[in-house]
Amino acid sequence: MDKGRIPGNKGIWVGICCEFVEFLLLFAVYFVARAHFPQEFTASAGRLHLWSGIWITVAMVSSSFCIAAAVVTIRNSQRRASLACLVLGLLIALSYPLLKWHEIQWNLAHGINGEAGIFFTVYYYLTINHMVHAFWGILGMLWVLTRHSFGIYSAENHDGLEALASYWHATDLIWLVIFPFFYVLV
Amino acid sequence: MSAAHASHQSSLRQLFFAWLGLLLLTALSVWIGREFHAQVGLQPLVAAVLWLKSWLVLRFFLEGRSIHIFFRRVLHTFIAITPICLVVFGLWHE
Repeated sequence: MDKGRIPGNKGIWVGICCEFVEFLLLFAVYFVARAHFPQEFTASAGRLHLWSGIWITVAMVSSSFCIAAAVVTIRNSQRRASLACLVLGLLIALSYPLLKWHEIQWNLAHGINGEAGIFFTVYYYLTINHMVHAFWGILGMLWVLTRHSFGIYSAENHDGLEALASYWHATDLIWLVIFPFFYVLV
Repeated sequence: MSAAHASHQSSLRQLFFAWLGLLLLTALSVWIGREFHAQVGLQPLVAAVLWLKSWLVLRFFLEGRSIHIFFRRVLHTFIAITPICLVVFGLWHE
């Protein structure tokens, strides 16, 4: 039976598993809070800035697409195209903290802070935690971009780029869960 | 890399359509949220869209079919847990 391969390196996959466990615990907090305070969740949901959630989703899936394209192109020995995809992925990823900053400013202007109720406490806890993980991914992109620009990656050896891509896609998967929790189930 | 693994790799075309699918499903989930607001079917519908989006990322961006079987199982479990919880939660509370 084909057991498959480990994209990137084992270390990043251990990190991804830890990230999943951490967020599964946070998702459990969401469900427990929602089960105990259904009225608060019903009353508070819908007060958030929906378009911020939509644009963050677009940014996450688009940057994921660019990073995946960077991996595919380096496999085809298209180094310049791979670099361009990585730069584009980084630029799109950088829009995430900007969008989140704008959203938080909007929230505060509308009286939505961490003490505005259990729904918003869970919302800040989950989304800020996710942004911290995305921040590690952005730092990883800068590191991989530096190495890539020095010609370290090739069609035969691009483990670092694959490791970054795996982490970023895992972070994307987590956002895909967070988005309906706070912006769709309203 | 073996030929079997190479055959599971995504092409740029597949990545593009996966990305397009993710954008369309995001729009669909927002529409479902509005149309089925506070209705019984909301949770399972959102759960289905969520699972489909996660599957697209896993299948095409992460190239899930070529990943080591242990991590493949971890990923499939992770993308299944929340949709299942949403369906169970919906049945329980609605």
